[in-house]
Amino acid sequence: MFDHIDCPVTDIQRSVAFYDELLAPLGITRLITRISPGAASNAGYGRDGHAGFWLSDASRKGQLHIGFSASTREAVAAFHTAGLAAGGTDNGGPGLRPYATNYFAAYVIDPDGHNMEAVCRAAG
Amino acid sequence: MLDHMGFPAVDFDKSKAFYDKALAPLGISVVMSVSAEETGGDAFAGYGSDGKPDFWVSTGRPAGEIMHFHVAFVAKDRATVDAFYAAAIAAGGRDNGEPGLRPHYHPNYYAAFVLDPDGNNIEAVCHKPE
Repeated sequence: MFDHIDCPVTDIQRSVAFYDELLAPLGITRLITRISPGAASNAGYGRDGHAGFWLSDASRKGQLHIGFSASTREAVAAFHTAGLAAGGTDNGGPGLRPYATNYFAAYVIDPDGHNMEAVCRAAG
Repeated sequence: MLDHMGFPAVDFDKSKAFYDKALAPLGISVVMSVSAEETGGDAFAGYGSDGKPDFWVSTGRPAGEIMHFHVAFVAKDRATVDAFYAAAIAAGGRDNGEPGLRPHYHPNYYAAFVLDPDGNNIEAVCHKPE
């Protein structure tokens, strides 16, 4: 059901040191590391080459980001429409994003400020 | 890799109405509801597809408070849950529930819980009988 989850943390170096140890017994390792002082930083953990669990620095304190899997681009667009109709705030309309080939996604902010995404990775 | 996750909402009814609509196009709906009377505390709505609740929204987040989230990772067996817990405590995590069965979730729910450096509740769970 989930594609990925992004968790805001207050000290990414401290958290990377913690999660490296914490997740190793589960066979989950750090696949992507983008940490640089003074810039937006994040780290992605996963298995089998897909980073499904992310840590990011707390520039967006308290805001969760969750990506739900969608089977088609039409479902991504319907998610965005339904989210706005339900009182959500637009955070990016349905469309291709440069994160990966065929990464078709849309973003809606929920009532508590969490950033919810639907993403389809199938070729359009 | 992930088993389930959840977080408290400031206004549960408002958030539930939102997720009911936003997740419907993905084939995701409430598959389990737990009332405040049943828990003696917070109410929960568990969303999922194929009958398994993966995404939980609950009551209990005070307005303005920094939220603490909950995420659970799948473990392939109980020994892996134990290893996860030991590694977490060794890495400076705080105990939030030692490895063991939680039969009130289901008979083979074997899990451990730790708090990460930000106070987030991180779980490993094995659902298999042993």
